[in-house]
Amino acid sequence: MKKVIRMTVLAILLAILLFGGCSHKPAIWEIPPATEQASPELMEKIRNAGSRMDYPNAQSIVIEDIDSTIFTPEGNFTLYSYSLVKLTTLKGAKDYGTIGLSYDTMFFKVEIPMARVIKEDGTIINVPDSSITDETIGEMAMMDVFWTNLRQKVVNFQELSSGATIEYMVIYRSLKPRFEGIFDHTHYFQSDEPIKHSRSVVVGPALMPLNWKIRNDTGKLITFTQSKKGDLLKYCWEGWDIPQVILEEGMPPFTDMALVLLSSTTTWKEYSKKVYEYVEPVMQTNQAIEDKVAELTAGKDSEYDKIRAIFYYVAQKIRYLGLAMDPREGIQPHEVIQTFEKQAGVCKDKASLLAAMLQSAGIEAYYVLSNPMNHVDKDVAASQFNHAITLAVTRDGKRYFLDSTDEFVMDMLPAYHQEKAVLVCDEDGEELEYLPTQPPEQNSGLVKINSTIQSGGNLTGTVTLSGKGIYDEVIRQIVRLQEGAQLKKFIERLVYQVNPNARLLDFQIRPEPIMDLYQPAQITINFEIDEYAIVAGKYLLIKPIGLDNSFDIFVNTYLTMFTQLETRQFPLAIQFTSGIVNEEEIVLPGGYLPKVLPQDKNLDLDPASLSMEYHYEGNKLYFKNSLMLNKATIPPEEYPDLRKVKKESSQAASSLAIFVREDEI
Amino acid sequence: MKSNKYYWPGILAILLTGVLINLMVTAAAFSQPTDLSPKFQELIQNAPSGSDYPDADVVILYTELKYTLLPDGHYSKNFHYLIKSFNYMGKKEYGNFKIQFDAEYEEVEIETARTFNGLDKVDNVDQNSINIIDPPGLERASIYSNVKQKVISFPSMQDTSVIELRGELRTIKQPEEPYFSNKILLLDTNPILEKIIIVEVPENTVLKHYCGNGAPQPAVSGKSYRWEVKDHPGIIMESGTPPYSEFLPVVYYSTAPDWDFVGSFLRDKFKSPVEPDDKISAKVASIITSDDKVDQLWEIFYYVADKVRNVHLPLGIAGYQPNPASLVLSNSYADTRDKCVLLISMLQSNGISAFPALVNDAGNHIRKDIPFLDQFNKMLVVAQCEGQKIWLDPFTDDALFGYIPDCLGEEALVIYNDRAVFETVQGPPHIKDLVSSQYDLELNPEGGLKGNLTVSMNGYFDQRFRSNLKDARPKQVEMELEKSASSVASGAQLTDYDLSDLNDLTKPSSLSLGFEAEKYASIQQNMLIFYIPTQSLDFTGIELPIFSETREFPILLTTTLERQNRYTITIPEGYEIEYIPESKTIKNEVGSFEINSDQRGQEISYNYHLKVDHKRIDPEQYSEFKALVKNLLSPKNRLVLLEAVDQK
Repeated sequence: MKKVIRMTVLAILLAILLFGGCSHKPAIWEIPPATEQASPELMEKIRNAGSRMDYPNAQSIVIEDIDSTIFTPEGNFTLYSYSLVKLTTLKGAKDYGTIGLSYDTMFFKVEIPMARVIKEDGTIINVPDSSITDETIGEMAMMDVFWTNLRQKVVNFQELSSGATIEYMVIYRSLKPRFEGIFDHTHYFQSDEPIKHSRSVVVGPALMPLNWKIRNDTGKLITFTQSKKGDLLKYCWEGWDIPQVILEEGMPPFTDMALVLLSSTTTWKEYSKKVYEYVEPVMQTNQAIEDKVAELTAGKDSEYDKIRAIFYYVAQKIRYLGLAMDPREGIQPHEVIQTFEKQAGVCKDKASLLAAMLQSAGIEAYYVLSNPMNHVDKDVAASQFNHAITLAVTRDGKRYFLDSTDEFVMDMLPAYHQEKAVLVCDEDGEELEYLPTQPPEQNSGLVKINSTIQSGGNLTGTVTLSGKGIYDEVIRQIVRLQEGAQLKKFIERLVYQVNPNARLLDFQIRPEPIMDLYQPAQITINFEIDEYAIVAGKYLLIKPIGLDNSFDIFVNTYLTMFTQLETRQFPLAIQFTSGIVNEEEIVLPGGYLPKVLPQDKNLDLDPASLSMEYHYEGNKLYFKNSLMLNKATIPPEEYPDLRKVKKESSQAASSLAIFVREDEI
Repeated sequence: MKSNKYYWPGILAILLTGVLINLMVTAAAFSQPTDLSPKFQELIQNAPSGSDYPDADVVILYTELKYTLLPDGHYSKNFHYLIKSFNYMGKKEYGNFKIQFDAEYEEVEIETARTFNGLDKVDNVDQNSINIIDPPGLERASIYSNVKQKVISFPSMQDTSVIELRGELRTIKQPEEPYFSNKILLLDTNPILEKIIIVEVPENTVLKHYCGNGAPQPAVSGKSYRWEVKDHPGIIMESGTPPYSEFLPVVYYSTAPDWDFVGSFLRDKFKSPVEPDDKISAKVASIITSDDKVDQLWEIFYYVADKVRNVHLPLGIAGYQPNPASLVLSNSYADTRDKCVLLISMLQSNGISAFPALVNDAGNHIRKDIPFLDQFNKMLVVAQCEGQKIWLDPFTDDALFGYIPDCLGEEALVIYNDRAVFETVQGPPHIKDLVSSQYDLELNPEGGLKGNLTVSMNGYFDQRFRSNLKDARPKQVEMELEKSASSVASGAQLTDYDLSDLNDLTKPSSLSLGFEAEKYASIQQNMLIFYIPTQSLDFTGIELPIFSETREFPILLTTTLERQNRYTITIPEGYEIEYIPESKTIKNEVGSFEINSDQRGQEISYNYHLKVDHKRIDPEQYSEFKALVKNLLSPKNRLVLLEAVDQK
């Protein structure tokens, strides 16, 4: 530990001499001597940072959040990070009890030259080496990715209490660049806690200038300065008193909403080319692959049918599994021959194999980077991708983006990619583009219900559930993940949701097997419900089953979940457009005539639409309703309209078709 | 954009390589594994298909587990699995086989790991497919334990593949516990063709064993005990069941002679760490404010429960040796052992006797005839103060003082200074698992609803409510309450609220919130229709699994249940009540459900009371349980229909 500190101090001092901070104040990077008491200056800084009274919604206050990075023409870099965090509540003390610092052993070495607790009275408790552990990352294992190169350093702080402060330094040294000759850097100027001071400094060759942007800085909180010394350029971004982000349910990823610096020495075109150079060498096929392609495309006349056949194979037969095999694990796909032979791989492996197989079939195809979760900024070509898909282009110029990681998607691209960025990688390089919004009808469910009500109010019925796009996908997932007896239990639960007196009689699933993506998925359920219709004296009260979307599997739930807050500060990220349509026919018992039917409704607003129709004819009640979520992301100013649709929908759920006995009229 | 170009020399190279690879693959593909016995070859060749077991994801073709205790106290577990998958979920479940071990004491060696896609296509798992990870869920507890998982991935596994895994887990260091023990489920949900469990102990070692829930007695040969399962059809599991070992065939075994022996082992571990020193005494002195000894106990308890961060590690997974109390105090973080050590030490420093107690809060009953510590998963403290015996759970900082979630009524092993005895965990009698709500509602002719909801929570419900909100930021609390108002009446606006002090663990929590909903009741000509709200607060709800017509297995509820809702609803002038739910009472073996509805002028009063007296509902009681809950949820029992008087 001591040797590391000495060497680190040397390197840091060198940087300090050249570039100490944005101003000429003494730099932070001096490792303080081992001492039992914090310096008066440090204690004053901590005291002046404020308390819980000043920040009632904070669990801690980030007093300093600093990083300084030096990069080389090859793209290697060393990043020095310093943090000083005051814990203003007991919860904050517990939350900061451990911090995890993720890194990739193939690309980084991480050192923690300092980690300590400064108690309220100034006493310092250094974190011993034994309290810094190195672990794999649990979330990766849960996704069946077992790359042991993805790790985290876990720092365990002792004697934390409300009012204590933690202070730590981390040094990241790159072992090799992700992409030769490219450097990019991201710094978050905002968090879910208030930040008193945040600074990011980057020093690099003047011949590799940075293109940069501060995203979401509507208040112009971040200042920028730039200077040159010899062949080196120094960039400095700095901000003070940056407010915390109070998290809201359903908001886009925090990283999309926060104040963030994005910087890069490259452009999207160059980035695209670079990725192509990494991927192209692995795309060589062999006879086995070509034989498979021939087998899959035999008898298929159109390019589209060939694409579909090959896509379904890669999506369903190549298992999603992450095993570390290569020196550039995480960046470069495995050789497609290897992925094919192992019949397993993660998104990059499947995407490249799919592209290679399509090319083998004579179809123009490309490896594509994407991020279905976060917004990718088009202005700065910084690393913002976390996924790989494939693009196929038919001779008539039609483009098909294909996500072979998803084995349930009939349309070959899941709905959650809409409005998200993609970067096609080819030898000329391409610009970033965004996928279009899909109309909700392309992802909506259809519930058809036919039922008969007896005079005592008992009901027997049949419901058929089907859908398009993501709705079809969800149906398949439900069936696939619960094959056998558990599926029956799921459907029992679905029926029970309609009414606690409901009983499942039987059900059928189509197609068989459910993973036949050439056929739409459909569940048909036969059920009965005792005393469904309410006999209230002379009245018979009937609520159409589709009225509160009882058989809908997610759209109404989303709407309920995401309209509970009265107002929103942030957009609502539903991730995809979708909808649900119920069509119902109810045969009534004899001897009743309609007294009052609920009014039809029609509400068509930007974020969502709702319609309801009732119709009585020939002793039958017909009901149809439709609920459409028209946008994947709803801006805060449109949120009241979404809530309005929900209120109308909920109020309508209290409606009843009221029939009166003929002899009472 | 241009498409990729193929270069002719490259194509030739590719073709040649492809031919070579193809030859190699072909050669490999047609060679059958020579180390596979005829029995296993036949098992694989004639393995059942999914249609033989339509409700199963896999079938266990063969499993052999051999647990061996060596004379020097070391042990090993030899395992051999042969499993056929039927579908996607089977592949998902077994495609990455995880073996957990303590890297400080144990190692795992894999002898064979391979996938059969037919006997003629065998893929051996290579080194890249075997990884050691920190178990998900135990991350950030590595300061406490060296528990790891060895993950054996079978990359070429398809939906209907067979996998074989054979290996050994063995100790590399003298085990901590001075006895050899285990609890083994003979059956689980998967169908089994053949399963063999063998336990072997040295010549002079006595092995106590128990075979429960229909598990057969072992075949004994010398010091070798053998259990066999053949042709088990599989079990369709239901939701809400107790732990499997409570109703599926299970074997317990131990070489410990009695609980005193086990207790003595633990007592020795705790003896030195609990000794209070000056640091502990100083801390106690600094937090005591009351003159009353019992109040002092609660002050000390609250400090340990609230101020020392919980490190969530199941009891036993990192051994039983706790850290010294003053170190735990310094660290300000602790797992269940260390929390108890600190609490005992601080209480003793203040002249209050206190002792560790072990319990199981997951619903597993303790086999008293088979002594071993792994039956327990949680540690409590028993204090004796002013003639009272007080049970304490220092891991719970969000429950009323004395309320111990999931443990009340359970048997705990208390380690006194001179003996280890079983006692029943008791809580304060005044704490009940009850939530009661009062709604005061007013409906207007436009269908709008205005009202106030007051909720009082006790016991389990109090703890659930507190755990969600106690440490939340004020803005987050407001958002949660907005959501609660919205769950009462969709789109309702929160107008005001009053929340009790959730840090005060002497008083049950309560909440009052005012709300207004513009559109609540449905207006149809001269009628107003609405449903009386039943959802109190989302996070105090518990799932009541009554979806199926019948049950084969018992239900274990999180808690006994008592829920009371009272409503006063003022209806608009000019309207009459056409329909309100009828009063009714249902009483049966499981509990009771009662509705009382009444109207006086423009006011409806409606009360319901659900009481479930038992946590465990046996299959034969299920229909009665269902009858109670159905009535709670039935729309018919919540519907109100009003009609305008002058338009009748």
